[in-house]
Amino acid sequence: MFSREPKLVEDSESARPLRYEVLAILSRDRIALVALLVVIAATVVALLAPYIAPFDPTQQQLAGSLKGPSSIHLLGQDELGRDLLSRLMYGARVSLLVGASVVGVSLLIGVFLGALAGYYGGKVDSAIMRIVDVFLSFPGIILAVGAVAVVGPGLENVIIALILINWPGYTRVMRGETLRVKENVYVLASRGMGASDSWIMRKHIIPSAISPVVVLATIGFGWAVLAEAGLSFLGLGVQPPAPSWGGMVSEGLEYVLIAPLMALFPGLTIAITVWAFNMLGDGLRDALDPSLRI
Amino acid sequence: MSEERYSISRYLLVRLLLLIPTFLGVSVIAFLIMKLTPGDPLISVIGFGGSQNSVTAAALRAELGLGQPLYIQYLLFVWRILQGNLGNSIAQQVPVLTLIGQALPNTLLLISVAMTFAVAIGIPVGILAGVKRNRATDQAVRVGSILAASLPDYWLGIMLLILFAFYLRLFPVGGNIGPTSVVLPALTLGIGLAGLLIRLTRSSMLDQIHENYIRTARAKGLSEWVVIRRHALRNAILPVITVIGLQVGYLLAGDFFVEYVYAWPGIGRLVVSAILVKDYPVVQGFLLLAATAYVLINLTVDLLYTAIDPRIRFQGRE
Repeated sequence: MFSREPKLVEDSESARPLRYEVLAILSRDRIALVALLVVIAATVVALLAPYIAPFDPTQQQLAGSLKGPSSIHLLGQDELGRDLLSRLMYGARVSLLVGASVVGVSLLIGVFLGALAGYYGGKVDSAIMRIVDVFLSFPGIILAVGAVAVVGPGLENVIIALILINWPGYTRVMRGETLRVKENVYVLASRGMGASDSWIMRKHIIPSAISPVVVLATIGFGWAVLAEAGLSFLGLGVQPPAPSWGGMVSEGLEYVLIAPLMALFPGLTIAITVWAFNMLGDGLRDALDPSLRI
Repeated sequence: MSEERYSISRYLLVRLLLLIPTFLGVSVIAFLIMKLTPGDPLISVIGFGGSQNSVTAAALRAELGLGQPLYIQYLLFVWRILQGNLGNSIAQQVPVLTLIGQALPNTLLLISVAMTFAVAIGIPVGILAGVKRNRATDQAVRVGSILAASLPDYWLGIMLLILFAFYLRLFPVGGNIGPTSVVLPALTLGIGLAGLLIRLTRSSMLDQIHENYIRTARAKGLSEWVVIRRHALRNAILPVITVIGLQVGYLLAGDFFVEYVYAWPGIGRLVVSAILVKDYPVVQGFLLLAATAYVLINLTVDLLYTAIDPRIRFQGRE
């Protein structure tokens, strides 16, 4: 099926470590740099929310119910008088935690299984890829909604459901890249010199094949933030009174005619955050794809 | 020629055989996903007391095989599917196929209007961005298209609803009550799709613009417009068509947030409501049909691709 002839492919992937590649891209691509700054800002806000949020996100001030922005409450207050800015800041913790966990675990599973399938081929490949095919046959978000409905709403269950629908994509990309990389002459040379399979995979295959997976992970992070917000919008994510961006849009929906800002701000926050991850992924892809580099 | 025909039928056979394990896996997941749901599914239909005792409950249990061991329930489930029977909705007491049949035309209408809008915006803007690569136009399109694809569609739906239905009163608030009802949901869905198509068309154009045949066409002295329209676009459009096909498959259920916000009586809304009340025959039926549609669309797209592009030869499953 695949040629076993060694190909004289230039070892361009490992010539320059990925982190330098990323830095070089960002120095050229100003928009991707702005996106990176948005991602960093969101992360800092999420990490420092307990210290920088002006109010407790669950503290009710019924006298201020549905009040618009003021010098004390910069983005206004919700129906229970809770400070919207503080709730958005705490909501960032939920969104980024979900993004990081979903991408982290899916990446680990995908890289491991994809490298195994691509490297060994044959029955191992068939077995892994058939399972991947099954998962990819379902409309992802519906499977996630179904899975959360089965195990019950909550943050951990949302994370598990999103991992369930995310790992196959990483596996497929990693397998494809492994197939490409494993024919490189330095891999064949290592094998000829008696290197073990696991050594070759750790030292050659994974480092050389990881770039497209990193791009996928960056875009996948934005997707996970969007998906978590969607599940919370349906009431399947973090449960009230804890704040989450999707939950805030849903709460805002009830009062949208008298206090439209209540739904506007969380939606904008989701959009900007997801945009930043997608933009960063797009910048990385443009730079890491040699066909677009011309 | 006969050798080629042999390889085509062999390829098709291999692809069809590979669908068997995929469908088995799909049926196991569709079966398990609702079997693992805690609680009695009949409670949501006939109330807490009724689910234990009433004659209706007993009849329903027998129909669904709920008293049998799990593997028997699975075999009964597969047997019913093979007969084309997806069972009855527990909540509505109507065959699942009827419910899906009623909702499907609405979803197809919504998807086709949204896709028309996305294609009308996405392809021309994508071509423009590709041709003007790295200039200000391209950068503006890049930021805008990625933003369009990043908007939560339920939120965008709410915002468009407030603006166009409540304040400007140009369109109905929700449901499917006339020809104008589809405009806002389709616009909501179409904006994200247009963002995706712009990105795809742009990168597909860039792939073509650097090919040798384009250089040759330019060297012949053809105008840039002719080079782009007659040469680059014809080849660049193939992957875009593929993705449009795959997106239609995905949107059969992926549009449920939009259907939910606009109370649009389509498949997505049907399924999410079924999930929330644990009406699992509907969910199972939908999962099976969606997976079948998705797999078959995938296969058709692959086959069309191999038919359209002579460079692609049938090399086993790759």
